[in-house]
Amino acid sequence: MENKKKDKKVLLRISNLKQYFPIKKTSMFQKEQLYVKANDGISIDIYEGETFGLVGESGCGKSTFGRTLLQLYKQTDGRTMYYGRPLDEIAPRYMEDTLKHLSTKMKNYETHQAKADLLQSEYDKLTTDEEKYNMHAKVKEAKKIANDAFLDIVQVIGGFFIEKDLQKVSNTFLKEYQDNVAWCIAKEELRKLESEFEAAVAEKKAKKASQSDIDAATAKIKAKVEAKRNDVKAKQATFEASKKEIDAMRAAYKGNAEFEKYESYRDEGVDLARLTEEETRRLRKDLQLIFQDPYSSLNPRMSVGQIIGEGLNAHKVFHKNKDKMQDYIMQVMEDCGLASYMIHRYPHQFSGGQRQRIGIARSLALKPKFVVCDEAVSALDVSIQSQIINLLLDLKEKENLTYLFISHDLSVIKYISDRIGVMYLGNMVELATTEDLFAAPMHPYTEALLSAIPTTDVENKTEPILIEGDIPSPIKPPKGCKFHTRCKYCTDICKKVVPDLEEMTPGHFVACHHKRNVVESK
Amino acid sequence: MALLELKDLHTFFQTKRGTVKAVNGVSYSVDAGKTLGVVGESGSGKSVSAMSILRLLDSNGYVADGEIIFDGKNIQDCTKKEMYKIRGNEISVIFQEPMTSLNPVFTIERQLSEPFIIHQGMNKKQAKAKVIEMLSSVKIPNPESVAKQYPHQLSGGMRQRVMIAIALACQPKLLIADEPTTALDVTIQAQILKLMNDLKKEKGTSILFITHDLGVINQMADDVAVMYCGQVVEMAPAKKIFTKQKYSHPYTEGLMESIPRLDTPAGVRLEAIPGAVPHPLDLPKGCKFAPRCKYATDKCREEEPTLVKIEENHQIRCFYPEKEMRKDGK
Amino acid sequence: MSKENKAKKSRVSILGLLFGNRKKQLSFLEEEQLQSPMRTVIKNFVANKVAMVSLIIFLIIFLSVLIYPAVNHIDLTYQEQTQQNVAPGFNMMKVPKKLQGNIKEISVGSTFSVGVSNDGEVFVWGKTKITSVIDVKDIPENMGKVVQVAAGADHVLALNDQGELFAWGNSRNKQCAIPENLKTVKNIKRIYSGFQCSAAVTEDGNVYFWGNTGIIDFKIGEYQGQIDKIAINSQGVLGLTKDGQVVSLTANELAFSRIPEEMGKAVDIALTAQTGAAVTEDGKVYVWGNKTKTIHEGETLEGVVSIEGGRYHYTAMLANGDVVAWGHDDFGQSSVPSKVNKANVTTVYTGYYQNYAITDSGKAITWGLKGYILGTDNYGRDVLSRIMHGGRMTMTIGAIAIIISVTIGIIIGGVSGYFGGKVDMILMRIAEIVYALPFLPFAMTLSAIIGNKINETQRIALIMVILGLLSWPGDARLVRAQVLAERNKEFVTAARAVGVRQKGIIFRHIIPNVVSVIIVSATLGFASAMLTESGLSFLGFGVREPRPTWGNMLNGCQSSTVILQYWWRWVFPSIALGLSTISINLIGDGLRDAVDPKANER
Repeated sequence: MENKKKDKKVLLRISNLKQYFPIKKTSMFQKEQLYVKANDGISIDIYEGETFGLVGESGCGKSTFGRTLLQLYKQTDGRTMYYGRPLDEIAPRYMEDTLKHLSTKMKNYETHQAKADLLQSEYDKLTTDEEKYNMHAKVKEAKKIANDAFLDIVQVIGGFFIEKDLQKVSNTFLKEYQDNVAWCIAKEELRKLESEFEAAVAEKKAKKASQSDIDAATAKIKAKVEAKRNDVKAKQATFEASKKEIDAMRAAYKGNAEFEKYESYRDEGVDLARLTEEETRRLRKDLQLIFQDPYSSLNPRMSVGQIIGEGLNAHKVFHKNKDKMQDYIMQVMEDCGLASYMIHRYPHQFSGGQRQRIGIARSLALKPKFVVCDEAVSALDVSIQSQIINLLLDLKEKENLTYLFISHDLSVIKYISDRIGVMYLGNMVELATTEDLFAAPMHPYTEALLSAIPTTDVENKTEPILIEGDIPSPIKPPKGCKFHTRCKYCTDICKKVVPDLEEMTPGHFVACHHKRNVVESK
Repeated sequence: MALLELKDLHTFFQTKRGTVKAVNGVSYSVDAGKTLGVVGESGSGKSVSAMSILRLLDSNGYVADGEIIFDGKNIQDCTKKEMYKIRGNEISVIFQEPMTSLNPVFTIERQLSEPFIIHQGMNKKQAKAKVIEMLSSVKIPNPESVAKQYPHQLSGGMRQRVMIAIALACQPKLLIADEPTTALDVTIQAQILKLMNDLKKEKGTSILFITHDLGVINQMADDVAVMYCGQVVEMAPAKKIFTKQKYSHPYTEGLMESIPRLDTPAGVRLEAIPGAVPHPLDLPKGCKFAPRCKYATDKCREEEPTLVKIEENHQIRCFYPEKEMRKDGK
Repeated sequence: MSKENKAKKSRVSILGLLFGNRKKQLSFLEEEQLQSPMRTVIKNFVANKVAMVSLIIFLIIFLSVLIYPAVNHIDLTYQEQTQQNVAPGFNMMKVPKKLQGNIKEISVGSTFSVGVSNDGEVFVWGKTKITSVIDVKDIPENMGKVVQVAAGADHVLALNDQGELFAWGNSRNKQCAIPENLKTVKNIKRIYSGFQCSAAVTEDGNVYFWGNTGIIDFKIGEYQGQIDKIAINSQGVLGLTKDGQVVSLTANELAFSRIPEEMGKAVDIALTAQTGAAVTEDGKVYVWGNKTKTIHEGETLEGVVSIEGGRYHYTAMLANGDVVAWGHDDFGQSSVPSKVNKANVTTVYTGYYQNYAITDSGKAITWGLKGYILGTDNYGRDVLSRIMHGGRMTMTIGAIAIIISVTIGIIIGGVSGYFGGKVDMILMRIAEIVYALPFLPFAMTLSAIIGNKINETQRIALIMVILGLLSWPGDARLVRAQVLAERNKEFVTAARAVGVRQKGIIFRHIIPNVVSVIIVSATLGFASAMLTESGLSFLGFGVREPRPTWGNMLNGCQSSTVILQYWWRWVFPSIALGLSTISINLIGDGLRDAVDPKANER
């Protein structure tokens, strides 16, 4: 997944995401812990402003993927880099951890790398395919661990990876980090104070107080705001200064090819998987979820206003400013096609479609950047589905949203998505732009899936390509390519080696040992 | 010759808050060896009309009016005993969730062989052979091992196959399939639909196919009845429903336009039907679809249209069945 | 209809509802729009007739047991041997119609009264059934014209105009066995019936005494032949000699044996249970003995002519014809109705707790104890009062026990359900261990071991704690299951997804959805805690006598005699207990149905 489209900004880069759910042991004597491998190494980039469609059958892990991405489940493995906000706006704690233990981390990386190299050399010595197949996974795993250790370091310090005096690097970066944190805290406090000030003014105004009265009553808080503003400015200056220090250090290495190489690994993204709970919670504002079932996803004991306002309260968006919040909620409701006078009603008083609108309003009230629509229209009646799809599209345009649209319904996915990923049993098997995928599906599963959709087209009723058998259990998935048990092109290699997701034509990825066969057979 | 004919069927449910007119004057017929697809949204009465045929309504439901003629007999006049004979023997049914119809504590074999041992006096060996034959007829791989399994060990698709096997065991004249593939995945759905089509051709069973999925209807049905709010709003051969015609009901038209199809070009806005299905206790006056119909006139809101035969095999419940007329008229 | 219009309409209908304007029938859809989930629950509950009736019944019981004991304090040491096992009813002073207007004389017994008409006919009324076979209403035939009657605790004496003496009723202590030597005496002046004894005074001043001499050690000695009248109570006899001297006629010393010496010449005497009283020539009253409460109040009176003694009160006739009563007033026996003094009263008859004032037209005006609405028990205590006090005790114990058990249940169940994992495992195993303890044997053993070493209050607290500590596992499991179910609901995930803190999720999403279940379970648990307490008390391991609970009220009803004869002693507590538990259970069921959203779908 190294290929990046130059003209599009990546919003989320997911690499090798794994989500395993442990299964309760059935007996005391069961030694092996079994897992449901819901997501087994998924890597995709999601670009800003696009709609990424994720399609697959039930149990393929597409919903899990959407939720893991949002860190609603603690992901088992993998990196989920988020680029929606500059790193210095968040200043995650894990950076501090890396910086403090830089030398230990470095040693750790070196041992892993050595292990991986050893295995690789052993692998290279092997002669028969049989042995290679068996060894393949092991080598891959060792390499991955080494690479993870490597990335943990270089993503933070970049080119200073080659620096001998790690202590100095550690100290300088730590200082920058701490200044950054101080600045962030001050900014948040300022925001709250400003909101409080605004509320105080609005309250006085509502009582029709004169301007001078307002000024007198809010003078105290206004002074506080001013003081805080100066504080923020001072903190910012300190931070900028320590940033410059690092820039100066960097300048020393100018032209050093090796430095530049490692510097390119430096990542301005935030690894969602490594954030603390509180950091994740704060970032949830940006990353939202729309649920499938409009009935169970709304608390029956809360009114619409409370439901939509919950997120706003949690993030103190309208700190101590209830009136403004109410106005805002009503505005959001109108935007989502709900009459604002319904604000005090309870979910049971709404139809399914309206409830889904409430769910959408709840998510969009936080002005997110990225929204996962988890089967957002599947539970709705046919005539309501299109209303919701239209609403989602309108809102996307208006708010410049990025969607991950998860559905089992290919027609909906095709209609709404720019790019589509096809999942099978926890793996991404094919990934392409919508046109490419429908014009020339490369994976045998995609091919079968496409032809299985019942269409309303009367003229060319094609006989669907039937795939035999059922989806295997995700607890004990087949070895090698997971689709091989149902695939008509299956050969020996498919049963042993897991195919990688490779880019066949620009932007068209497929994970199949026989993708060419598929293309030719078409 | 129609195998099953519903004439002006009214099925009501008595609830605390009033009488729900779930089926309010429905007439349709299933010809021998043909498939009638009944399509509609939830609450349109499509399932209730089918359950009325089998007299399997909830305790608070009753047929208020109308006739159900099956194979020349009026089902309303049948005694309970006769109904037992009809159910399963002459009319079989497949439900959406097959798990609920199978007893979880018995193996498939035991459940399937019991009727043969009890009703047809077979011994265990014969019954077992019969069960295996049944299972292989619905293309279950390894019928011997599947027979020994318990329902929960089978996948959704397999369970639905077993249900079809049970339904077809007695060679019924009519098979009622109530959303049989809604709970299944597309690839499995394709398998089941193909199986049903094959069996229909093979055995000449008539099918009453109930679904909300227009695509599935297109694949299965010879004739289509579109239902809305307990009434049939349009009835025609599948071809007429799914191709552009001179006449159509605005609801059918809206449905066709509102679902995204594989051939819907990207960027084209979906023509959504506004509003929601009215509550069954708060049905509008006049045409039930009028509040959501973009062509509705005052007449539509005041008077209720009847199902009118527009042309051969094509009935529509609308004052303005001709598409051109609607656009011009308003 | 446009949405705005609809809104306006609903607002209008809210106003309409508020001002009782219910003319316009709302469609149910509009009605539904006005409802929050809480209101829906209440509406569903109110619509449930069974639950509502139960609620009303329970509230009545609850308020009664709350208010009654607050107003009427119970005296735990109260016992009244003359009022034992009195059947329910208010006929103690119901003078027969035939007698009314034609009264010659009335004599008051413990729970019944005897009267004789001017024609010499004898009437008995009130609670006349002494045992299953003895009934003082069974008046002997052929008594002739009776002129005098005397009612005791459980027997009656009668004297006819021929000077013949008759006795009937309970004769276990020979109180009805007229002495042979008296049968020949024809000049009987006055007959007396006391507690298991009888006496007669002749014209020549002789006193004959028979009956239970074990209780009253009668000794007349030197006064034989001088006695003018006597007074008997359950312990002793006083005599008034012809020359106005008051003398004690018992061998042993009693509370009222020490007769004040400065009194002077007495004209009338009377006895209550603990005191004696005499009226002197100059119309003054002297009271002596165990003077409790207001029994001496009469000493301020002047112009008293005659005096009569009840169980704990006196009545006196004044020279001006007025009737005055003083002493205890538990049953209104000292509260002389105003119409008595308006009428022309000739005589007053007092005994035990009843009073009859006879007017010159021969009619009786009555006051005092009419009867007991629910009867009395074997100590003569009012069953109603004990039911009320017992109910308060039973309900308090039930309520505190359930509060303890629900509190523990919520904490343990909540922690277990929310955090899960090992904590859950350990807590649930503990719950199972407690669940496995056999409740009754355990409670009985515990009560038996430490129950005797502690005082009454501690015992009651102990019962509450035992009940609470042993019944929480059910609640804990329920709460845990509910928390688990709520925690995994989509809306909780949704709350997490918008960034709500854990605290917010617990308080806003999980607890409100668990509370309803807890309320239902606590309601049902309350009923069962009451039953368990009653069971324990019934077996004698709970609250003990004399403090009443519904359980130990039934305790005395284990004998077949009580079950067959004194049905009121077990029927009423059982009804109270049964009615409360059934109604609480029905309320609980109603609440469950009201809370369960599935019930609303139909």
